[in-house]
Amino acid sequence: MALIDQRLQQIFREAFENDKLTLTDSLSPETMPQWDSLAHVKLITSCEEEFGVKFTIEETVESTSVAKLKAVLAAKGAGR
Amino acid sequence: MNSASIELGLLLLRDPPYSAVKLSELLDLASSRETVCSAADLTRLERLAGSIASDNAEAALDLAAHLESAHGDCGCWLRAALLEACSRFEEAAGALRFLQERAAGEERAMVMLASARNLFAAGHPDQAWHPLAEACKSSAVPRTLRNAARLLAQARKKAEAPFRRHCRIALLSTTTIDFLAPILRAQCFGTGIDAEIYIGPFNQYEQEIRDPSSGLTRFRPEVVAIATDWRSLGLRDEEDSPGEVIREHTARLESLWREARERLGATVIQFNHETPAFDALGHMSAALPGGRGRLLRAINLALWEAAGRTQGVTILDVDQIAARFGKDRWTDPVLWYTAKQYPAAEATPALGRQLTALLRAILGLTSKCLALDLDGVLWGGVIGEDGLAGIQLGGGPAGEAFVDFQRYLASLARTGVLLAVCSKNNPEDAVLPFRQHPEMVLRERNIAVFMANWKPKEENLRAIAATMNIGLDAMVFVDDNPAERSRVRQNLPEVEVVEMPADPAQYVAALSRLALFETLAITREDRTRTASIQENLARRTLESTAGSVDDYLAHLDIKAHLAPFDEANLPRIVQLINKTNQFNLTTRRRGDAEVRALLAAGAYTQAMRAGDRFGDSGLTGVLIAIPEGGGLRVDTWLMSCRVLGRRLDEVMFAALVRYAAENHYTHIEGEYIPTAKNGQVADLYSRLGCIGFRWETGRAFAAPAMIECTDLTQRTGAAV
Repeated sequence: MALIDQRLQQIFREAFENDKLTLTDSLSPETMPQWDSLAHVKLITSCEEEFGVKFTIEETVESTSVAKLKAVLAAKGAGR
Repeated sequence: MNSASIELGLLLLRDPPYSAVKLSELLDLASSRETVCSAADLTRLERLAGSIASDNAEAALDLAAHLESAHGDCGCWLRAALLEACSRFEEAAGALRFLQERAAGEERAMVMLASARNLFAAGHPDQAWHPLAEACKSSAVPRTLRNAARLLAQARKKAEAPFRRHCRIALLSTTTIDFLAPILRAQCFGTGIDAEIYIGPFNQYEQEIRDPSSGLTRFRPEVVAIATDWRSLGLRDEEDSPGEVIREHTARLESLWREARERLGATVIQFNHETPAFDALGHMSAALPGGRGRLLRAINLALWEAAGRTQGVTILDVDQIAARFGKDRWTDPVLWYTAKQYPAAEATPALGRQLTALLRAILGLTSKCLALDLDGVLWGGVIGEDGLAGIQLGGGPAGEAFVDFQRYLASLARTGVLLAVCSKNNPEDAVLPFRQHPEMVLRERNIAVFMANWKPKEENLRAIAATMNIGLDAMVFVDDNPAERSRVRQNLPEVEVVEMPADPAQYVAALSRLALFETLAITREDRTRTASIQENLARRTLESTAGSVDDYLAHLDIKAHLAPFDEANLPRIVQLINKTNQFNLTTRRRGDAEVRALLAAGAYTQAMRAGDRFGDSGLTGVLIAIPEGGGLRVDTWLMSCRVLGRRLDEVMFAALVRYAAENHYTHIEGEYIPTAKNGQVADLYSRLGCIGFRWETGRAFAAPAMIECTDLTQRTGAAV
């Protein structure tokens, strides 16, 4: 597993309190009912801390799937 | 080791199999002991270990074996993470043990959390609670605290966690504050509180408090925290009639406090308001009579005044917490606009820590004694070697830092914290600065118990606690020597051991950050506590020369004064009800509102003050008896440990018997509820001559003749 996926998977496992969770690009609020606004704040703030970046309003609002989150992180040059 | 070399290590490790050359470079890196890795480095190494193990567990274990001789921080951590990722929890915990002593700050919290995680997984919960509590106390990072809370929730399903008190806490907020719940739960665990938390619906604090069918009412909170943020006040940049705004807002909150006190019987923690970092009016915001900055400050002051008039309401100084944290970072504008999150996620632990300190005070868990090492703590250098003229104290940069630390300690002592000396020194060397150094702030009279000898410190700490008659869990230990700290942690896990920084310039900040001594009120007894411990030592000297116990008591000239509860003595009574452990028949903890409710229901109450030839021990006995079935049921009876063994229990009981007879109660019914600490009163009622727990009216009870007693409790009708 690539390191960036390993790091993101851990963030998701912690935010959703599920140690069995497997990270896939398609995870989103539509596929995961637990992905509510509080979980979203946990995800964003954990990513900010883990990768040393800051999300804008738009990036925060738009990052509603693993694929989109990864795109935002890649655009910031984080997690290489 | 720095981030650049970690980066190099990561590159080396990314493409297995590891060549001999790469491995030797990596081991050099892992053996480096130059500096400690940052928390971010530790996180990355942990993820890296996970990634290697998920690709190839054999390679991960192989690498872990190579790292066994690498004693750098980074090497130990990586090895532990590799072992954990391969489910070798026992070995991982062993690898982390070494790091526990070396790491500081946030890195230490991470090491403690990883230790706890591995110890739980390896099936050693008894060894895991302490590192978990350390992580909860020392971390300031939301993610670490959340993970600690989660580990706690999982672990307590399998083993009993060492909690001191359970508490139902409701958080009512005008902003999204859900983020605080797990963090607060972890921080509470760090101090022994089992926090059951209710988060009220967003911005509905008024309805929640007033509505008898609200979720808050059903939750039956013991503590209600009202978090109104500055935005929710809706203040304009400049208000036309500031006085009115202040009055209106204060009155509205006061009426909510009353409702929470009277209807819910809860203690209230009211958040005050941040003066925000940005204001269009700039400095004029505080200068203009109606400026928002000035108004917020005035409202905060008005809240303190109102809380001072109301029992059971405490203000959480959010403005000060925000200032200390840094107001530029206190609000995260992105999360405010997207989720109404306030304060910022990264600021939440700072808020939670101070909230926990107030909860400790409300629950009577505040630390009572600060035991101090001498050399390197109160002055620089070693008094036994450098002599009076050679130690650093005043007269130079480091010397001034030590003087300031002493001033801070002296101030703590004035509010009721007991200072003790616990030092490895010759006693005659140790007292020298206290008696002769012109720059000493602390003198012998400020030190309740002075222990300078060559015995192990855990032995002296036990002796200090015994002399003060307090539990080890009420003690805080300060020592600049990491080996002594570690030893005390090992031998006396109940004692709070402060991680002291190496530089005396940081001492005051390090101690005050822990907020161990927050109280709700400073009573007369608090201000004279040190003297009272010293008087007790004098009494013991007399005791050892007197013949019988009664001889000794007669020599003491004990005077007791019994009075019903009133406004003046209620704060001290509530304090005693919530913290007395040993002489406490029922250990029923009650807040101010609950005690008042008992009074209103017609309970008979006794507040005993005691004194003798050595001094006044103050209000040290409390008894509440409730009329029931024609008799009196003793609901609460306790005495402070300062006055035990002096037959004052008989004085209190005699007054109760007299009252029961004169007011035609048929009997007195006692009760004993055993706890871990109140074994000494298990047979109190039978010692007093009760049949079982019952005393039939009509029998006479003689109070000890050598105690002079003034009894004002016989008049009917309490004064509250």
